[in-house]
Amino acid sequence: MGKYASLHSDVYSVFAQAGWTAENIKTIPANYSTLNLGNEFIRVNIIPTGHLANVGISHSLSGLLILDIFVSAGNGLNRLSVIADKLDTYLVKKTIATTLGGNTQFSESSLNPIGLDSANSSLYRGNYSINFNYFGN
Amino acid sequence: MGYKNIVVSNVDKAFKMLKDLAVNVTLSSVRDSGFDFSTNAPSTIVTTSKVILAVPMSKKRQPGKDPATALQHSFLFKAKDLPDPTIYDTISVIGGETWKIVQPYDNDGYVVTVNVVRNA
Repeated sequence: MGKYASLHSDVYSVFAQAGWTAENIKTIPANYSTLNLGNEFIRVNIIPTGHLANVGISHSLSGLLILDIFVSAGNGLNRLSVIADKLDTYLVKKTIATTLGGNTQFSESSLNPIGLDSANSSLYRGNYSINFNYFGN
Repeated sequence: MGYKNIVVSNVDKAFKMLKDLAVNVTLSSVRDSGFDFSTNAPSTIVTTSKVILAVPMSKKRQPGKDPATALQHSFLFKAKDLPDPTIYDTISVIGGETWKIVQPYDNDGYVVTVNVVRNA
C-alpha cells in the first residue's frame, strides 16, 4: 500500500473504532455527498503538505488533518468545544498504525470558530486541525 | 377556477401540445445511511427511481471550463410532477444518455428547470 493510502487508512481507522461511533456524531470524508447529515456532523479532510525533511525515511509525509465541525447555528460555541474535546481524546499525541511498516503520529490540536456555513446558514462551522507526521517504509 | 389552477391547466396543455418533443425520463437517486470508515464505503445504499415527462432543452459545451469536455444540458418538468429535484441524482433519457443533476434549479411553482452535466 502506498503512503497516501496508508495515511488514509490510519486516519479513517480513528473514525471506524467503536468508541468514536458510540459518540454518535455523524462523520463523513471530504468529497462525499449525502443528504442525511442533520444539524451536526464532521467532515474529515486529510491534507498532506510535504515530505518529512531530515528524517531518513523515504516514504514519509507531514500534513494537517482538518475536521470541519458543523453544529446548529444560534446556540453558542459550547457544542463546538465539546466535540473538539472529544476529538482530542482520539487524536492528540496518538500514534496510529493500520498497515505494516507505517504509522501516523498526531501532535497538538487547535480549534478555529469560522462562522455560519455559506451553503446552509442553519449550520455553524468550526475548524478543528491537528498536525500529523506519517512514517512509512 | 382560480388563477393558479388556470396556469397549471395551461402547463398541462402545453406539455400535451409538445407531443413527442416531451419525453419520458428516469430520475434516480442513491441514498445512504452514513459513511463506514472501516470499509471506506457508504453504510447502506438505497436506490429509488421515477419516470416523469420532461422537455429536453438546449445542450452546450463551454470551452475554457474545466473539464473542457463537460456537456451542459437542462430539462423542463411540470412542477407538480417534480416539486423537489434535489432528492434525485441523475436523469436518464430512455435509450440514451445519463446526466448528473447539478445546482442550481429553478422552480416557479408551475415548471421546474433542472440543470445537468455529463462528460463527453
